[in-house]
Amino acid sequence: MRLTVVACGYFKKYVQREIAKASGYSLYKPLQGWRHVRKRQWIYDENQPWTDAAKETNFPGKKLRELIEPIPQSQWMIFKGDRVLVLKGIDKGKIGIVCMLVKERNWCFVEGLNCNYRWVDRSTSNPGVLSKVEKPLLVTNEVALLDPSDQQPTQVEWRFDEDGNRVRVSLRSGRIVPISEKYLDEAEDGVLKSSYIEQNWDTKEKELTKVTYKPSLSSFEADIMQAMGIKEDRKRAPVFYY
Amino acid sequence: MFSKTVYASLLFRSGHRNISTTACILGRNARKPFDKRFPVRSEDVGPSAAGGSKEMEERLPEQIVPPTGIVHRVTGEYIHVPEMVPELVVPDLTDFQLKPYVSYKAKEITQKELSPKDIFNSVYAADIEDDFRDGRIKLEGDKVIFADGRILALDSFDSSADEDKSVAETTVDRT
Repeated sequence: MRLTVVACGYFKKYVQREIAKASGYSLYKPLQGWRHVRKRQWIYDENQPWTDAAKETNFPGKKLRELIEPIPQSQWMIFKGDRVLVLKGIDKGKIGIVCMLVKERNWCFVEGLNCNYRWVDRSTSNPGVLSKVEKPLLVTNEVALLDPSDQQPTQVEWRFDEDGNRVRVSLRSGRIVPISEKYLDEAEDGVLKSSYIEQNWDTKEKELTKVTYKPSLSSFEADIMQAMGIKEDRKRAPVFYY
Repeated sequence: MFSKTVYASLLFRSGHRNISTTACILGRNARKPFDKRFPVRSEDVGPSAAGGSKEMEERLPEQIVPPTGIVHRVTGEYIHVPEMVPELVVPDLTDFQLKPYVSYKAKEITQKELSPKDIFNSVYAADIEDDFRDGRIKLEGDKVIFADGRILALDSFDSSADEDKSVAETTVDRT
C-alpha cells in the first residue's frame, strides 16, 4: 500500500483531527504540553466528519439514543458497488447496488431503495420538488449479499483461491463473489483513480517501479567513505577489558 | 459553521466560565496601532487598520525575514555577518525523475523487508553460479568442494529457519 496511506495514514489522521476539533478542546498542561479533551462521543452518520452537516449532527447536547456495536473488520462482507437484496423496510425483496457504507454504525445505503420522500420548496404557488434520500440499512440483518450464479441471497466467507488472493466465496454454491470496480477504483480519500489526471508533480508508475538500489555488503559508513574517497589509515589503539 | 455566540451561551448556562479575557488584552493584535516590541507588519498599516493605507502596506515587505547582521550598540552602524546568511545544502537534482507526490493511477507496490538472503543473492549468487558452471566448485553428495581444496559439509547448516511465507502481492524484485 502507498506509504502515505498505510505508514503515515495521512487521510485517517485528517479525519480524526477534524473530529477532535469539533468535539472537544485543547488544554495546556505544564510538563505534558497540549492535551486534547474530548467532550463528547462523535456521532457518525451519512455526512462525512469534516462537513458542516456532520457538525450539526454533533452539536453540543445531541446524544445517541442507541447503543452501537460496530462489527469487526474481518466480518465486513459488503463493499461499495455490491449487488444486495433488501430484507426489511418498504423496499423489502428488491435488489440494489450499495452506494455508501458507514462502518462505525454498521450502515449501508442501497442506491434508490429504502428512501425518504420529501417535498422541497413547497408553497401556495409552487408545487415544489420531490426529493428522494436513501435511509440506512443495517449490514448485519437488513441486507443480504447476492450469489452471482443464481442471484439469490447467500452467506459469504473469506477464502484463498489458487493464486493466493483473498476472495469472498458463497457458502451455498462455492462461486466467488467478486469485488466491484467501484470499490477498487476509489482511493481512501475518495479520489477516483480512473478519472484522475496526472500532473507534473506526480511520480508516474514507470518511475516508481524502477529498482535502483543494489544491496551491498558494506555498511552505511563504509559506503559514504567510498563515495567521498575517504581513506582510513589510522590503527585503533589497543583496548583492554577487565 | 455553527455560531460561536450560541455555543458561548450554552457554556454560560452550564455554569462553567471558560472564557479568558486576559489573553485578549495581552495579545499582540490588541496593541494599537502596532506592537512596538516587534517589527512593523504590513497588516498593521494596511487599509483595514485605522490610519493605514494601501501605499503604506506596499512599502513594507510581504514577509518579515530574520536579519543577516547586527546593529553596533555604540556607533549604530549595521554590520553584515556572513555566518547569519542561511546556506541551503541541496543535492544536484538534474535528471532526477521522482516527484513529491505519487500519482493515484500508479499501482500499489509492496516490498518485503531486506533480509540477509537478499543481500547474499545480490552480492554472491551470480559469481557462485558461474563458478559452479565452469567447474571451479564441485558438488559431491553432501559436500561442496572448492578449487583451493576447501570442503564444506552441507549438513552443518540448518535451513529450516528461513521459510518464505509468500502470499501473492505485487512485489518488486530486488535483484
